[in-house]
Amino acid sequence: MPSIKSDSSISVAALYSEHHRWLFAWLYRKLGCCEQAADLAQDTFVRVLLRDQPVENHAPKAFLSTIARGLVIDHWRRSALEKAYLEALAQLPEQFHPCPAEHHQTLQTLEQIATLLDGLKAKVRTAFLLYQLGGMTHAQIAAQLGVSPRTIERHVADALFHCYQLRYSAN
Amino acid sequence: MPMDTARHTAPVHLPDAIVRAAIAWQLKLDTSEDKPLISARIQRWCQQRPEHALAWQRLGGLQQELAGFAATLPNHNLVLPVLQRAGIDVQRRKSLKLLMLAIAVGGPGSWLIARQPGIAADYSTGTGDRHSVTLADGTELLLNTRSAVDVRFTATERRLVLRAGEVQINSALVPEHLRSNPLQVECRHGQCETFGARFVLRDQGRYSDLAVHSGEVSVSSHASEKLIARSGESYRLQPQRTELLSEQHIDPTAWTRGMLVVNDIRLDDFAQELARYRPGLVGCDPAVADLRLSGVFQLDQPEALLDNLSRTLPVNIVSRSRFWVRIVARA
Repeated sequence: MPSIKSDSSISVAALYSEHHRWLFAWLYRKLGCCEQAADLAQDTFVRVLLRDQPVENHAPKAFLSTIARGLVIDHWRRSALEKAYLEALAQLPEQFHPCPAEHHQTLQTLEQIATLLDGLKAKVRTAFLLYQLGGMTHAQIAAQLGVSPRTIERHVADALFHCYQLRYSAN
Repeated sequence: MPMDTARHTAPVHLPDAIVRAAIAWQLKLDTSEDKPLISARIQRWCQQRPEHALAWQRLGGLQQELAGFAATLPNHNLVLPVLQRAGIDVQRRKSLKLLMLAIAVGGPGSWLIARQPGIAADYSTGTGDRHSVTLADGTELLLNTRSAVDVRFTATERRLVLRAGEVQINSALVPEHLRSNPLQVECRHGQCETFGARFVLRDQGRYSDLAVHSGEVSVSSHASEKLIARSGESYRLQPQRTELLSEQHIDPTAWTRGMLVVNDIRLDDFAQELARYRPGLVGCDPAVADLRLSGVFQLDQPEALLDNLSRTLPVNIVSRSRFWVRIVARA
């Protein structure tokens, strides 16, 4: 790669000119939409800029695709949540629909919760959601999910532990 | 999220066993019939080692964050299935497939909500706070709980923006021959202008309420023509229309004197109002939501107020954790 400086770090401008096209194509394959791929490619480089640290030159593609993969996941999570939320809203009479600001806020909170619970097993997440947001007791959740209250308690404890680690662990 | 700061300052690492123990205490407290007893035991446990106390404190922060999420969500029956259906289990599946989990959620009743500003504004208040400010032009602001106001004053314009919550604005009367630059107050659903009035503006999410105590305020909403709100009048600014409120169950200005004054209010509405002034959630069982209540209460003691409910109405107060309280029918 001739245009790249030979020392161990690389400028974002060089990274951009060298890898933007490739990254765009990679994103396009994932997303199947030109516009979104272009947006996320842009966002990827913005992230690199915001890191405010020199970029190591030894594996720029792996470096960029790790950031881009995270953005794709966020994007998918957001669209999945939005779609599911709009579908749920469609069941409600018009007068109960939230105003745009509220709608936006709700989606944002849903995304924060989904991010927090990312990586939890489905059963653990469901038990935790019913407990934290549904305000149900262990016994009620157990009855609904067809498992023992003891299991629900373990699920809720596991989910809390997961959230704790996310918030307070060094990495 | 205040907890995030902990991540930047290399948080103290606690052994997993201690974190697990704190969680076990939390769950024991949530489900126990004898909360004072468990609380006392937890306190003893916290005193044994500083790590215990730290774990307990962090868990409290986490609980508060979760309760904050719950509080910003408008309709839990609606969003719970959304979160379950739309959960993406990325790490486990190593793919972007959606987990379709269609679990019908039984109606756990309506959770009562109060939005938190959570945004950097020029002036803002936390839960249960009231804060007064005098601006450069002499206008006095009094912010109620969980409120946020921006001040945008320029050489030619005096503009305030209510970003969240509720504010009382007291602006001095400008003599008629000097009137060129009204005080403008924007809210989510419209705009108010005045050359001297005392009024309260409250953002209720789906609508905003204006109550004029003295003077005159001209109101224009996104949906309706400009109209004049006079002393003693209250208007509701909605996306489709602006309406004069004839009967109000909550005195709109009593909070400025530290009081909550209600008249024939539904219990679920009362619980929702109360929830603004304390951390966490106040749930109201549908079975008792229709009960009516009138009275004058001190806002500075929301806990005592909640406890008093069970003396005046056939209800019990169930608290499942530090941030979850529910009003249910007396057994």
